[in-house]
Amino acid sequence: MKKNMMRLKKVQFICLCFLCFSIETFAQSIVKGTIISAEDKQPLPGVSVLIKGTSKGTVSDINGQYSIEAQQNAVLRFSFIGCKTVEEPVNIRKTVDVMMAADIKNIDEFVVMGYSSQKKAEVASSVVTISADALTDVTTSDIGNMLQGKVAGVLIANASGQPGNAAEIRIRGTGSINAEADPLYVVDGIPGGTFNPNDVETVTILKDAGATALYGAAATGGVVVVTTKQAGKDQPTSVSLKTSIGTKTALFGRMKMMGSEELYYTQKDIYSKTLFKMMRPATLLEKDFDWTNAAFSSGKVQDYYLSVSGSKGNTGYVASLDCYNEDGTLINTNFEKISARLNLNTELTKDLDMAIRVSYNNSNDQTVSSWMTLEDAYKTLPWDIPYDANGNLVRIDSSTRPDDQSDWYSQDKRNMLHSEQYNYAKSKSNQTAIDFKLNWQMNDWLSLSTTNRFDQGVTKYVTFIDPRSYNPSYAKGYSSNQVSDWWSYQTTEMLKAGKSFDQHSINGFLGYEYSYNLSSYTLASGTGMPNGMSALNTCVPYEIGGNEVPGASWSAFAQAQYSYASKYMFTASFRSDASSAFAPKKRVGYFPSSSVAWVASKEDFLAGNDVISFLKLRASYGVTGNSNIGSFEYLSSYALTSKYEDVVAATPTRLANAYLGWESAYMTNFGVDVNLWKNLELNIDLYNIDNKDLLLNVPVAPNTGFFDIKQNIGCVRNQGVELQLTSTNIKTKNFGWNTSFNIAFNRNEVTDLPTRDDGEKYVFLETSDGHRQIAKVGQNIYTWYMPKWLGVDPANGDPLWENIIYDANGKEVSRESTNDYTQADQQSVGEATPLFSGGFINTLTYKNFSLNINSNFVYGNKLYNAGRESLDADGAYLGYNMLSLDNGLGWNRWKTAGDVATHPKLVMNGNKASNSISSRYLEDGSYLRIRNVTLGYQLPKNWMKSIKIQSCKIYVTADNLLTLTKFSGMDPEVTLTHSDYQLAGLYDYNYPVSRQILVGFEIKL
Amino acid sequence: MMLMTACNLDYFPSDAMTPDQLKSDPSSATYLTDGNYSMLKDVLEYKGTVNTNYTYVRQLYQLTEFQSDNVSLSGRTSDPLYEANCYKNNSTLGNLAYFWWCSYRIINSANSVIETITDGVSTTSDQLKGENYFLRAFCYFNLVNLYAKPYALGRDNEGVILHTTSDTSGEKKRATVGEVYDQIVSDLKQAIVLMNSSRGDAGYASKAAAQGLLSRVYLFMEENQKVIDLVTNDMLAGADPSSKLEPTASFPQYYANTRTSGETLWCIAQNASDDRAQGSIGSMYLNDVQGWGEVYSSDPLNDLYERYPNDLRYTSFIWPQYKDETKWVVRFPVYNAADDCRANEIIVATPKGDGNYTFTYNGKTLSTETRLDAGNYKTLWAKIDIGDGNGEQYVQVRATKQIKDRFSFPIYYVKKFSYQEGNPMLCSPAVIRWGEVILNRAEAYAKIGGKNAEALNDVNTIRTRAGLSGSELFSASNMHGYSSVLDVVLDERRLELSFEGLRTFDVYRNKRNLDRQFAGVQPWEIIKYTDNKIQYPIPLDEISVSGISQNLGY
Repeated sequence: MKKNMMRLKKVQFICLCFLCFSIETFAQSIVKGTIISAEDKQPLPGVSVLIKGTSKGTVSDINGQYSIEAQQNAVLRFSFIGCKTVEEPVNIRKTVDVMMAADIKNIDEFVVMGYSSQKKAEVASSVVTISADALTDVTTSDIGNMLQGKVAGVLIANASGQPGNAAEIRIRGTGSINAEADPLYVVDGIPGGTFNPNDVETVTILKDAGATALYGAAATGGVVVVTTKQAGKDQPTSVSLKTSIGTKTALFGRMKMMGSEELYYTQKDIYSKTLFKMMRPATLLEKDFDWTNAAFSSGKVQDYYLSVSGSKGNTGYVASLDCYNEDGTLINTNFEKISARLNLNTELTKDLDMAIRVSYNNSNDQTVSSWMTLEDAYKTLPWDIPYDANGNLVRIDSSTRPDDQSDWYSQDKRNMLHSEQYNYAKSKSNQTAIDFKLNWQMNDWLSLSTTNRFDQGVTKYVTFIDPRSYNPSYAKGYSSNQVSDWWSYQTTEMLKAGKSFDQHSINGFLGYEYSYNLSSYTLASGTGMPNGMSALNTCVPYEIGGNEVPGASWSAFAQAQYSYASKYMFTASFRSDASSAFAPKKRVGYFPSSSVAWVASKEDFLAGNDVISFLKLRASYGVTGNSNIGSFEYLSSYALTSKYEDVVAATPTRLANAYLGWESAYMTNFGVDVNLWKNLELNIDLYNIDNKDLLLNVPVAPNTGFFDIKQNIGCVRNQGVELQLTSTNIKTKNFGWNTSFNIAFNRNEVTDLPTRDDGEKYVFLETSDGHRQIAKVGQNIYTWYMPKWLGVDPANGDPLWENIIYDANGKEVSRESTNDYTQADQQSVGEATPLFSGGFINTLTYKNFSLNINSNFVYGNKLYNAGRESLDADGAYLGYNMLSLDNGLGWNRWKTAGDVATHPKLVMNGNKASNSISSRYLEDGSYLRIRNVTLGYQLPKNWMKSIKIQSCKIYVTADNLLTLTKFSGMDPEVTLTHSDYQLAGLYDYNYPVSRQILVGFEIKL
Repeated sequence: MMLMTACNLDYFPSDAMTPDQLKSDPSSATYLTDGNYSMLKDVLEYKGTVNTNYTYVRQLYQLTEFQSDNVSLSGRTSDPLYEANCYKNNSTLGNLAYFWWCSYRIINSANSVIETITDGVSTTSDQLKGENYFLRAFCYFNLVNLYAKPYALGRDNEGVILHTTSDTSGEKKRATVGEVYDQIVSDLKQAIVLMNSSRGDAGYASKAAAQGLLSRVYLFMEENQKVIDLVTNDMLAGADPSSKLEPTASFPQYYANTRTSGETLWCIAQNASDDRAQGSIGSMYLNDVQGWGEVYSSDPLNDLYERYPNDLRYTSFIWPQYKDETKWVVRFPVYNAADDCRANEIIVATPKGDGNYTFTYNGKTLSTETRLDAGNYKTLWAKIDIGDGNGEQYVQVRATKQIKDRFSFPIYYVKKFSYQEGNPMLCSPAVIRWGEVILNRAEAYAKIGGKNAEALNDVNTIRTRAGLSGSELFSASNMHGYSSVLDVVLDERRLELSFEGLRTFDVYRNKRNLDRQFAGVQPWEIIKYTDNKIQYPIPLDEISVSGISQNLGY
């Protein structure tokens, strides 16, 4: 076989030589022409024109015109970034005009799937690709934020307004209870790495196991494949500059704290007459400080992006630099990031390609200096003025103000604004990732490649509490440096083969992967420093800490694909993973998958059909894994991290599980892709995912000295329907209107868990504050579990909860209302996951104007507003400011017998525990948000000619313009994740998101 | 490159040892024993969350003392200490779950040390083993007293789960109170035999510490003769009790120096690096630059102290926060229908010069009247309508210099858990000290019959150390209005051991009711010693897995 191949090559070479000789005999002449864009019929400058088979070429001018000397039988090759390459034989013509169509190969026709790319029409799995343009409408440094509302079945929440905060992403619901459910990022074919959103060529979301199973152990949360820009062959140099600048303001939604007067007269109803006179003198009415307003201010957002790309000889390059700078709306918070990238690809020999990619990120952020800042922004009373008579901030550490010996009325004796003058929490990180790839095209059907990534980074987190500031934990100041550094090495070796004959096409690959990572952590802190000095050299040592965590994994995988006439497609893949996270006996996991697709529109019965221009049916099944549990969880050990009388001591950590292994997700997917009337594309997917052998923290009785043991037990099912619709509603010469709509329904159900002592199958997810969700068989994974609120007793203004009465056998007899919280029964009262979510995007163009309106929505989730336990507490906390009831939700306070009210009677120190955890504070989390509106104007090309600019676009863009919601907190976008400190859907003094308005321009040279 | 990847995936943590690694280390028993001590004061992660308020020692001092009549909580707090203070507990509260779990964590870890050390190998290993017996006894003692009925109410009541080996599998049920007490006594006896050397300051358990704790255990068991014998023969062995106490001159600094004081039999040592700041025991009691300062010495306790204003225990450890020492206020609790607790009215008053005051309330000018009780102690009363529907009636009024208040509750800070190394939030609380041991014997004397003089002698030893003398002391002929010596002893225990976690137990185990009718956020009530709500509920985390029975009333 090999020998035959060689012979074939030789024959080709000889023929080629003959061809060259024969070309020499034709006459040369000048060929001219105009190149225009197929889309808008505008001239295309900068198009590379090359005589095929030679290195002779030219570039079109600003009017899209070119002129070249060529043989009469030559073939001209026109190439331009973003357009399909056109080859046109001269054919004795003097004028060769060319119309270039946009190259939809990258974005529409080919889908990058990570290890391979595939023709979109032939993909048998559920994947969605987002192009760079569709991605970067929203201004943020985080790609998750950009994806929000754009892909069916991908739920994204930005739970914090802290600049630089990464959004949480859930693809097709949550199937894991204790293991993390985040998707895997694959950047340029390798898991992990770093990238700047502006450098992104495409983002592909792999949703079903037909595609994700190849990523095996890490793919249960879905896979996000990011491809960065790479220069094409013969690409002329192109320089692009993008700038946007704007301002942002915090969004408070319906949340409004009381002002001085409202609070004064509200508290008048709480205190007795004499006490009120004494505690709340009328002079308080003269004081009114808006703490929320003082804590938040508007800020700037700026982004500058410069990129150069092109190719020279055998080498293509893309180099970019990006500076992003964002102020926070919360006092003393901000984020800045510099990223740079160089992607080089070169043909070393005819058969050997090399790619080197270097990316570097450096970010600095300042996060809120203390948990107290946000809390005090809402809680502090308007009667406490932070300034003294001279306008200086006063330090508060007791109930007496030092400046005039008057009272500090707020519950907590501190002036957050005073501390904010000095204190900070900053982090600095940088990351460098270097990819090195070699691809050897062994012959026309076989290739061997090695892809390697060296990734390393360091994050330094510094907190400083100045001795001048008041801090309840550190009386003499505190400075701490925490340094985390990591490095990892990953290598992927792949042997790919592909061959077509007649209508048959077979391809596949074998691969091997290995990765090693080592992270280490160092902490040093000190106290007792002089004012303003944060360097550890100036401190008395306080604490030290540090450790090193190694980990490694290897994998082997294979995929085979067969297609017949691009009509019937079969794919099968298999992956095997071994990870050091698991017990030696259970280290290896196996992840098979298969998918089939049928392009029905290629069948005779649909050929030439005017309505259905394309129809594909897809089905896939596969298994993926989850190993997101951290290191050593299978191992019993004694931690040496504690001390007694400053001597190292050992304490038991956890119970061993010698059988701890993979959590697996079994996913079945059915999909239909239809194109109707040539302007409507519809994708529908149905899926069922069964997560089995969950990595579950199974409770053990506390009398063992432990509280749980990690076991592979339990199942969670996610079932859903996703619909993605893209349509071109209007397309005329001057006017265009495109719509993209997506919606996804996901139903989550826990299907198996270990049986508890009471015969029921459930586990609790809880915070240390007592907020609780129950994951119970037959219910949603995130079901709120708390006493049920039955409103306010009209007779006396008492709070009412539901008391379930049981008989002697434990059988429910009846349900009654009670005003005694200790009698209120905990029960399932709502789900934290939405019934459906989606997005709606409209793009309108008129001549040179474009308008993009992007909205997203979430429906049917319940959020728990924990902040109300102290801010809407009916008199329980007289030292905290209160939420104004005037928020448009029809809230009202019980005053006299017979009042039908939402809020109980005000009572000093609280009305019968009315502010205890109950469904009273559980609220509808549905919302519809205008995520982004962008109005752009493309400067006419003929204006640009004189200054040699290819194109220039100016635009105004606004993020989070409008949010419709019944949620009483600042923003309904709340965490989706259950972790050590939070529950999905729990809202508690969150950092609000912002409204941003920016202007920008984009110039291409 | 594939060669680099030989598939060894065995990695181990850099800051922990596997049980096998630890066993092979000659110091393993020391590491583990110190680990057991450290769990008393460290913030441990429980069920994935770290709550900086949750240390064994903070919960111990709050769960015991906040149920008593010694403290007044000045407002609602989201910390479950509120529920403890108000007897509104439920089985899901984090403080209860943490304390239960942490107790067993220490017990089980102590069990594994006890199992691995053979008696008599060396003085050092015997000492370590004895310390673990001691720690196990200490943990069981607190568990059984917090989660079960007092021993005095019956040996057969349900106690707690009893583990005496490191094997925690097998059937789980609650042992009886009697069985748990028997185990505690047996453990302490073992500890007394084994501990014959010292590992350092009072932060490490010792023979005397085990004896001191045993004297408390015997007292709770009503084994009064055993208390007397143990204290007199084994502990004092002829020494003068007063010689064991911190001298009067340095007594005001005792609580800052527990680790080095001869009075301390055992304390939970906390170093500067263990500073828990807002999460310290002292934080709820004191605001001095740091600290929440929200729990105050209660009115009835202050009244008791104020009978003898020179008592060092009042002048040194209670710290009233006056706003204006030239002005006077009167105050009295007023009825509050909705939440059943009573806040104060505080009214600026005019002294009449004879010890009474005039003041204006609801537009009426009122005057206090002085009453004398059996011991000739003065109290002030006035006829006031406090809004409870009973119209004008005589209520007790308290008059002080104008004092600061928090939501109408006057601020009397407590300094017993502060100022170690000058840090207002740092202390090494003395769990067992000579002051208590002497009063343990006093109570035993008072109960055994015919030993009233000895009982009063012990009381006077304690009072003398507190700076009292002459007529301030007790004698058979001067009982200061008390009719029984036991009452004298119990009030002396209250004065001496206030805030140290014994008051609630002392009341209920003596089958007395607890009067909580004083200003504070707790319900206005008298709690019967038989009330089921006195016992904390077994945490739901335990019941829902092991299925042991819940306490009555939950």
